[in-house]
Amino acid sequence: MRKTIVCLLAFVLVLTSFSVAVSAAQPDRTYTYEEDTPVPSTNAYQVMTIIDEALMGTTRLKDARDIFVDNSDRVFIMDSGNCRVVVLDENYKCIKELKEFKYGEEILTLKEGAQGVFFRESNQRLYIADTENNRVIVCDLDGNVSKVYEKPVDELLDPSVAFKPKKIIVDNMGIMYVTSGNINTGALLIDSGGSFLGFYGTNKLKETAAMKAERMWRNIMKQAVTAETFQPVEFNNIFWSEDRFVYTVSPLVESVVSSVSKLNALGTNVFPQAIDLFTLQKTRKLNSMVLNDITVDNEGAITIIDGNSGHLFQYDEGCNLLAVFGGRGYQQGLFLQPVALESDSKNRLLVLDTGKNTVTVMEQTFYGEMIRSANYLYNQGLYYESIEPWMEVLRMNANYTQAYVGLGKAYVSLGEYEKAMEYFELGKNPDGYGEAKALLRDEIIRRNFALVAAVVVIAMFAILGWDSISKVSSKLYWRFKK
Amino acid sequence: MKKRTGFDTMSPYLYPFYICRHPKDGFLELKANKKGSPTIVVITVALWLFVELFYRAATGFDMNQFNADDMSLLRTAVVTVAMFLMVCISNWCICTLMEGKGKLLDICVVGANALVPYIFVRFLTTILSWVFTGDEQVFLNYAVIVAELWGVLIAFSGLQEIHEYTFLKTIYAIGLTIVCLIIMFFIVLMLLILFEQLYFFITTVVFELRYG
Repeated sequence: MRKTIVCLLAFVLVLTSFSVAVSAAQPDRTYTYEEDTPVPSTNAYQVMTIIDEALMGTTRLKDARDIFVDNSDRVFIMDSGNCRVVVLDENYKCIKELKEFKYGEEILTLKEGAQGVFFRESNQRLYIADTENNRVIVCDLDGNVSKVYEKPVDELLDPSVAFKPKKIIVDNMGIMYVTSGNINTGALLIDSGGSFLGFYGTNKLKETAAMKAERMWRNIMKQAVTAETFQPVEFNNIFWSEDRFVYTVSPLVESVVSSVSKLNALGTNVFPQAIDLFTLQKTRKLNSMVLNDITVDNEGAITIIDGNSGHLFQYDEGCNLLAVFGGRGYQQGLFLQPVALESDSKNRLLVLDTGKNTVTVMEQTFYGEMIRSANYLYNQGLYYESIEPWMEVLRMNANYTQAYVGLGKAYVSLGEYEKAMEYFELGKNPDGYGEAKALLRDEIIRRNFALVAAVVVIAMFAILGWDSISKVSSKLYWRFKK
Repeated sequence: MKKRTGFDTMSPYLYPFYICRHPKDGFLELKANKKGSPTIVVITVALWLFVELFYRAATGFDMNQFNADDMSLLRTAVVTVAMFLMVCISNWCICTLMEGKGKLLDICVVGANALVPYIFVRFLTTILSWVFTGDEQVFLNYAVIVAELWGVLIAFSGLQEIHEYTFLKTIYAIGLTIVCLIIMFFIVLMLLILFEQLYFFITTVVFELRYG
C-alpha cells in the first residue's frame, strides 16, 4: 500500500516537473452591461502585438500623446516627450522619425507637449498640433513644411486667450477642426488659407439641480449670477470618420447633454440613442471616467477609452453596447494610462499607453467578429441572415441578451411567433414579445374564427343569464345535500 | 315584513356572488339568518392567495412587473392572508369599542365578500394578459381598478350593516381602523425585533455555556 502511494507521488512529481509555463495570456475581463448590471462575457478582443521600442526599431516613446492610423495602416505617433513624430509601416517598423521640419530657410522643431497628429490622405500631408508653440504645422512625410497656422485673427476670438491646439482633424474640403486647450466654445474651423470660419459642435448644456439651487441662492442673496457656472466644456478628443461625421468625447459632467457625440456637418448630435456613460458611472458608483479618445472602425463600431480605468467601451452603430474590455494593470491587454485610440483597416484597435510607453494592438476574436457581424446584419434589418451568427454568439456566450432579441426578431420575420416570444422573453424585451404576441393572436383568431366567436357569444350569454345559472346550480346543490 | 330575495333557496357557495350584486340586502340577510360561514371565508382568502400567486407568476411576460425569480409564497401569503387577518382584527378592536354589533366572524365574512370582485377580475385579467398586448393593457388595469372600488363599496356597506352604524360613523370607524392597523404594524415589528434580540441573547448564552 505504502509503496503504491510513494510510486504514485513520484509519478505526479515527475509529471508536474515537465509542465511548461503557459504564456501570459490576457485576463478574461470582457463584460457587458445589462440594465446597468455588469455581466461577464467572452473576450471580444485579444492582444495581437505590443508595439514597443524593440518592435519599432527606434528609441523608447516618452509621454506620447496621440496616434493616427491611415488607410494603408501606417501608424503616426505623436511622441511629445521626444519632440518627434514616429511613422511606422504596416508591420509597425519605424520608417521615419520627424524631428526637424524645413520651412523655407528655417528649421522648425516641436516643443515638448505637442498634443495632436493627423494625416490627410488626399494631399499626403501631416498635420501636427504643436501645442506649446501655439501653432499647427502642416508638412509632408519628409518634413518639408508647406504651411504653419498660427492663431487666426477674428472678432470671435479673444486676442488675450492663447491658441493651444490639441487635437486636429481635417475634412474632405481641407478645413481643419482644431480643439484648443482654453477655448470651450467648440472646435475651431480653420480653412486652408488660415482664416477662421467659426466654431463647430459646441457642447450643449443643461441646468443641473445644483446649478438651479445655486442660482436660487444667488437670487435670494441678491448676488450676480456668475457666468462661470454655465460655461460649456471643451472636447477631450475629436475623430473624423470616413462617412463624414465627427465624433467627439468630452469630460463626463452632469451639465453636458452628451459627453459622446456623433456630429453632422451642422454640429448636431445624430446618435440614434445616447451613450450615457455619466448615468452608468453614477448608478454603478464607478470611479470617475476620463474619456480620452473615441474611434470608429470600418464596420461602424464605436470604441471609447476611459483613461482612468483603462476600459474600452465598444458600441455598434445603433449605440448598443457590444463589449467592455481592457482594464487597469501591467498585464497585456490592460493599460496604465491610455491616452489615444485608433482603429486600422482590419478593424484592429491601437491603444497608446503613456504609462507603459507602448502601443497595444488588439484584434477581434472570433466571438468579437460574430457579435459584430450579427449586430451589423441586425441593424441592416437582415434578421433571417443574422440567425446563424446569433446562434454562434450564444454558443460562446449565453449571457448576451442582445442575441436573444436578435433571434426573436428573426423568428418574427419568419412567422414563427411562438419561438420568437420565447427568445424575446430570454432577451428580456417586453416590446418585441408584445409585438410577436399580437401577431400570433391575429393569426390564431384568423385561423379559428368560428371557435373564437362561439366562445365570445357563450360568455356573453353566461353573463346575461347569470340568475338562471345560479338558480339551477342552487337546486342541484340542495338536491345533492338531501 | 321580510323582503323576498333569492337567498333562502340559494346554495351558500353562491352567497358571495349574490352579495357582490346586492351588497345591502345580502348582508342584511346574512346577519338576520346567521348564514356567515367560516368555510367560505377560508376558501375566499385561499383563493385570493392563489390568484395573487397566479398573477405574479402567469401574467404575460410583456406586462409582468414581477421578477419570476423573486417569487415567494411566504411574502405573498404575508400580503394576503396576514393582511386580511390584521385588517379584520383591527376593525373588530375598534368596533367593539365603538358599540358595533358585528362579531369577528361577521367582519371576516364582510372582508371575504369584499374580496370576491377583485379575485374574479384579477384572475380574468391575468388570463386575458396572454391575449392583450401593450396599449390594450390599459383596459385590464381599469378593470382591476373598478373591481377594487367595487370591493371597497361592498366592504363599506357590509360594515355599515353588520355594525348598524350610520354613514358618517362608518367612515369614522374605518379611519380609526387604519390608525389601529398602523399601530398593530408597529407593535408586530417591535415584537419581531425584540424576539430576534432575545433569540440572539439565548443562543449566545447557550454557545458560551457549551464552549466558553
